[in-house]
Amino acid sequence: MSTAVSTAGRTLKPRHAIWVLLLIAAAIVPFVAGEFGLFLGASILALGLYGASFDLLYGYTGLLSFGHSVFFGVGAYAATFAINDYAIGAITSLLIAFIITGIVAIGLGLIAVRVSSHGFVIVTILLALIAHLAASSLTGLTGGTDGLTVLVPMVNLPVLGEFTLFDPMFRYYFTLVVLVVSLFLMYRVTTSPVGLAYRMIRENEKRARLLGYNVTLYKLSAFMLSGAFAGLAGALSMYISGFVSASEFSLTVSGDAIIFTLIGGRGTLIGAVVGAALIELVANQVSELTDAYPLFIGVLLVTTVILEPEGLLGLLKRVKERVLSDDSAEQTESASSREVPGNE
Amino acid sequence: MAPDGKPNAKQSVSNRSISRRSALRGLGAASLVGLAGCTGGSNNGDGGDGGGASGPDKITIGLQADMTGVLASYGYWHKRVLEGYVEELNANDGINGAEVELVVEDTATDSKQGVQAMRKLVQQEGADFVIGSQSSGVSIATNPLAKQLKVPYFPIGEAPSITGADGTRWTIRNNHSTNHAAILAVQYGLENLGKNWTIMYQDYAFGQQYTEWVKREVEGSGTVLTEIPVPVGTSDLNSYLNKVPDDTEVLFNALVGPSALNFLKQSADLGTSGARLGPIASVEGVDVSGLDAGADGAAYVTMLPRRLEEADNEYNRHLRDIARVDESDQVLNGGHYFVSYEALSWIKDAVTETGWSSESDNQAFIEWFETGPSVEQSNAYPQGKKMFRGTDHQAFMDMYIEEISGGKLTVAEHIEVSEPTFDAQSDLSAMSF
Repeated sequence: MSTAVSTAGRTLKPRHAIWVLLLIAAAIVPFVAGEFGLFLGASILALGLYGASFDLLYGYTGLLSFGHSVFFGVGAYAATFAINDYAIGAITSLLIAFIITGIVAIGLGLIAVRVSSHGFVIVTILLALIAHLAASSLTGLTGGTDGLTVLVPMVNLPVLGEFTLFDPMFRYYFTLVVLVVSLFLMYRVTTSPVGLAYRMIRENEKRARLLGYNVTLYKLSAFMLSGAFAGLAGALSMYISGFVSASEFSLTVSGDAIIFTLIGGRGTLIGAVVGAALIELVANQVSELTDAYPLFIGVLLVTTVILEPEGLLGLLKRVKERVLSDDSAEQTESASSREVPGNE
Repeated sequence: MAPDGKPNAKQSVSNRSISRRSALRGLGAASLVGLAGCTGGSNNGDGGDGGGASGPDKITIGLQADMTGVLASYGYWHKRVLEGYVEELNANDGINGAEVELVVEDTATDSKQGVQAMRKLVQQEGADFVIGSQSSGVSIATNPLAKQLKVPYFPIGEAPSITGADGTRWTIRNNHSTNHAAILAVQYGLENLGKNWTIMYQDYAFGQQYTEWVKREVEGSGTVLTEIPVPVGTSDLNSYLNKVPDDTEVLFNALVGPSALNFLKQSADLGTSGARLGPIASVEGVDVSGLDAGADGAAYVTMLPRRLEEADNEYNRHLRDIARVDESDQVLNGGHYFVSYEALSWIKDAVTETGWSSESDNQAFIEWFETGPSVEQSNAYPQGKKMFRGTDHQAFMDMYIEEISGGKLTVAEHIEVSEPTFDAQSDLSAMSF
């Protein structure tokens, strides 16, 4: 029995079901959530994009970066300057954030991807520290830790008209659309030959080199794409809060991307979105009970890393495999009992 | 999208779609339940963008508290004193017969998280009024949101721009502004310590703002010899202290954290010139009895002395009872903890005076502050008399100079204030609602 469904873009297969179901779940959130729920939901979607962008780098290429906050911050500020200083529209500012962050990522990537794995980690930590220090000090430009308030302009959509991001429902769906389009593009990259090369580098960089792949170039391209999407997430996050500050560059923000990815499941893209949703919802609920809620996040992370290194999606996969293997065994047994001797 | 999605696995999956659906349904449901938990309005459910319209039988006060992060000691005391005050109010018929409820959200001393806390307080917890963060960054970031949500907001941050360029009509600050403290500290310093000043400051908004205002006030009556910025988090100050000119008579220091504490020890060790003067924030939450003897003589401008003995009156005793100061093992943030308490007193008075009963009365509530109300020292205002300037919604109050002496903070001078110490930076009362 075939379960594949043909679409205009490509064929949907059963393994895509989680994407479809999560999309449906995300689409109906506005019908059950209040205003704060919509705000939180939009924030989660933007952070999910941020996590997925990190997963593109770490989950597929194996580059553990602690400097992802740099791209998040650059994207947020690029869109801020585009809006505040040049009165550029909302959609164009998002694109500007994407492009500028991609360019910045190429520059930083030229430094970072040339060094070995441990060196890469150290370099990216240093990049985040330098960026945070610079953003905190250049108060005239960035607003420092006090930040800048941004009045995000109306969003002009062809045919549909003008919409304001102050409208919680529109803000949510706008973020959802940007996330879905971004995830789709990232997914296409990961399933393309380029994505296969990323995975080969992750699994065995030396072998990839021996096979003639320009590993540095592939790493740089992953760094650039990952950075550009992180910048897009930063800009989107600024659109939701209407605010940006130097703390966007902090190491904690880099840590968020790592946590989302590890908890959701690396090398899946959608796992980071699930991770972001889980962490943000847990933080939101637990913070009402205790001020020590960051400890819960820490416990959750440590537990995940020790018990289920492949994250929530890995757990889901294992459960599915176990159920399937049990059922397969039952089927085999059942079929055996119906077997007619000599009918092999 | 699973990388191992092989043909065999695909066939197996299609045969077992119920298991798959069950698992995914569970995951999706968990997400929805989480967000549905944020459907907002614990007590109003009116779905409006503005503050929760609790009925006249209940008034919900939000506290945007810095419970974690670098200002956690402030959050601890603001929450503690408000919990006690709300308990006392409710034991005495609440506010105009309405029960008072306190809801608290953590800002983590971060502007972005602070803004999210504000949204949660208003949209989910149904706060009618919000008492803000001690962090200027959080206060500034929250100001426009308060206007958007149409909720009166009482920020505790001290940056001048909170009731200036960054203020909105919904901003009401009963705390002092940095420039108020700087002006009075300079006045004290010029009269008692000397004319030649050096300013050493933490190189971020807090220190920069003090530097700007101290410099402005000293010029004319004295001289600022040099300004020495110190990066945030710096522990070893020797190289910075070596830059202090020998003819310095007043070494104004606006430092925080490890810089502030090491400044006291190292300036004494090096015999750095100049009497040390600065804002109380430098040693707020620090047990000064544990400081080196070199700390003696350092003076700070503050709103309320930390020790009861230095301002022993029935109002101060009442405030300390409410905050259960003696039962806490945390060092009292004496110069600040009463601000949130008095913010609630101002809310109580404004509600009473305007007959506020729902968010539709918020405009009248704010306009009451624009009439420039003033109060005398009382149980409701234990710090002392104070007045609001209607133009910029800014309060003014007496200040104190405290000095470290023998491991204690003692009052060196009580500076009485009878009129605003600086001109309004913005006319908030002319802004639209």
